[in-house]
Amino acid sequence: MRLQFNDDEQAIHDAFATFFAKECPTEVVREAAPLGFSRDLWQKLGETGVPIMALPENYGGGGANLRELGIVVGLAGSSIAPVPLVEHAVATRLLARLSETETDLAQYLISDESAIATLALRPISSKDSTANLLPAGAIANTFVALHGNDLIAVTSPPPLISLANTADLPIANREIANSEIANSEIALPDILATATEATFHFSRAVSEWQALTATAICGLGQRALQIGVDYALERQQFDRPIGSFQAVQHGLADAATELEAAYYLCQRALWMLDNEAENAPDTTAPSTTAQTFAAMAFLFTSEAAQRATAASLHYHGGYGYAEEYDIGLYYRRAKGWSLIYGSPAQEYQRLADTLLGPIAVA
Amino acid sequence: MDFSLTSTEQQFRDELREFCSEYVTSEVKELTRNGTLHNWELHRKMADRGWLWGAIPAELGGGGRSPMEMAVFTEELQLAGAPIDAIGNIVLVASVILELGNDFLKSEVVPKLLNGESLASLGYSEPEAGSDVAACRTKAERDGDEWIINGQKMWTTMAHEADFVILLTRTEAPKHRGLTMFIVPFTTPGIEIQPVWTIGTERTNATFYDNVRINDRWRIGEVNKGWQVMLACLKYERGFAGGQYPSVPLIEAAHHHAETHTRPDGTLLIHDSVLREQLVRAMIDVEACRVLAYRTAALAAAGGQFGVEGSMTKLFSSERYQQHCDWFLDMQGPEGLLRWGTPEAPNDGEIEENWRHAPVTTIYGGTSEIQRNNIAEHRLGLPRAR
Repeated sequence: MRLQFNDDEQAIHDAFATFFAKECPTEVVREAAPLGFSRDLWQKLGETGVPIMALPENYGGGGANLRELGIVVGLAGSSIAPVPLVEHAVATRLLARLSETETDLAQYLISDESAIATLALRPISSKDSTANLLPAGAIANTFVALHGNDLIAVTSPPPLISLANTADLPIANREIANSEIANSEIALPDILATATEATFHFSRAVSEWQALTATAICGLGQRALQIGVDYALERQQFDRPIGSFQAVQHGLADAATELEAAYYLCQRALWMLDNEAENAPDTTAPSTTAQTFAAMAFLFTSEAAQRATAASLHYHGGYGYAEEYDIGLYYRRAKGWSLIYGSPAQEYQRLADTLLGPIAVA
Repeated sequence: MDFSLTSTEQQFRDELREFCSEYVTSEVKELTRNGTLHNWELHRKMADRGWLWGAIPAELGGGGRSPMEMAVFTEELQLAGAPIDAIGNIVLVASVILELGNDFLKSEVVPKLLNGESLASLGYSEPEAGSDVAACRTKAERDGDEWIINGQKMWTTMAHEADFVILLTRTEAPKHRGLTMFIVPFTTPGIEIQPVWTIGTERTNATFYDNVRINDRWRIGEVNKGWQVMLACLKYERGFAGGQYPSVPLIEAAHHHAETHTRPDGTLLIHDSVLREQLVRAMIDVEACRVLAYRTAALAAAGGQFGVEGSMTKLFSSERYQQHCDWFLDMQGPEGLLRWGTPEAPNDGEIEENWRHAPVTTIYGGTSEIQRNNIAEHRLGLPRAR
């Protein structure tokens, strides 16, 4: 068991820690609101190859595994970078799995090199013709969705305006053209897969999204905690730094502990998904499948990061509530990056069906 | 990042599972209800397999199982519900003697501990010295080749089964610089062991030392350098860390209860969505404990410091265990109040037993507050605040 970076992983970490420190100070985050997207940053990131690093090499990608991509994703989370890295990576990996060749894949992304793909996280009824609150929906050229029995890809011009939201997420509602409506101005969706093949690929992609988003949220939480620690060391009250008070220390220590667990849950989820893809056996007594573990890591990390950002904001006193301070940016995104998936209560019930067995109908 | 086990580690896990399924029977677990979390027969079977020697670091002359093998060892035994509280003390005392003790102690005490013949108790805590261990008052006075010890120790768990106690004493006034450590055989005249019964039905002890005379060869480490020995004890205590998985048998019991008991409307408890969420949360927490335990072991294997990670694991697993105990006792409603041993108690009172045990887990081995202090100071770089 090696629960630290190897040399290659360390090199990725170091390079992108430098990249995000330079290219994504919080001014960039603030300027990107309310759309929640910095095209400039996305282009710079594109030049590094990161958006396609975890695509297979025979599809023109970097051939990296999810753990390696996760290193960059975690750093992007630390800087609350306004780029759809997770959505794009997950959607393009999914498209690649269902495209026979690189050319087939390229049709979705051909319009421009910085084209964006995304994934609708919730199945859409065949009766509905909208992908609601689509992550990166305001900016993506192509989105993949499970529409009725079909896994579809829709390519249409992005609105470039997001639904105003608490976390400055680039979300939008996107139309799915219906073949029965003759005058639709947007192209009909491509059907990538149907029936069990469609749900199989969809659920795998959602699990990748959960594990990677959890990794980003973990990075966000860790940075928020550091902001709180730095502030507690600097802020003087009663002639001493507030970080010398045990009441403050213990709240921060609890947050650090939960984030530590969250970090390794995310790492293990990514590792299990990588293994599943390679059909490698898990020798560490897994109690669940990789996909279930990804959901567990997502729920745990979301809560840990939300508590950490809330604690960190709180120890700022009134300044934490002021727009001027960065901690508020983290606080809002910790909630938004988690909640965009759906209600945690519902996710716990879904997991319960898997882990405890479904409720038998009498 | 790589979470895979080596084939040696995997084989060891298989061996442990086989052992547990054969020897950690419900009868063995039932016997611990007398309050002593120890079973001699099981203990000697583990010793016969060389597992106690194996737990001692190779550089001290032990079997040198890797930190990851030891993590697997404690994991499997805990998952099986084996009474292993005594093993941590044995590994700690034997390791400290091998690192800092004289030849007499190495030949007189260590083999007995590691071949399954003897147990050891920890004699640090006193009525006035809990988290502040260095506030120790038990006095040792030199008398020629001998020492005369007077005082009292608290929470001397296993003393009534053990042959030795590692005893922290005061030999000079200055707080940390006036301490001296001894290994004391419980057969030495002047020692009295009184049981202290706990709300968890576990038996611990108060031990009294009245003009206890022992030869200087029973001293471990230098005179007035007992604090250094104490730090070594804490190091080895972390090296064999149990207590990461108390929730596993609890969750199994709760799940079983929920599948076999109904709500007032006649439907099964397991259909209750609040309870379903609680069970899932508890299962996620167990996975969190597991990665924290693996992280600690992996750090130790890489030769790193793992004090903070050990604190995090202990803090998290014990705090969450208490939460889980509360949830699942509440699930049982008023029946949950029935003590084990009462025929009417649901699931033989297993959850009630866990709930009564839970409070001690955030106290012993360093309270949650001590762990948080450690994390704040050594991970977050905040000022020492005590």
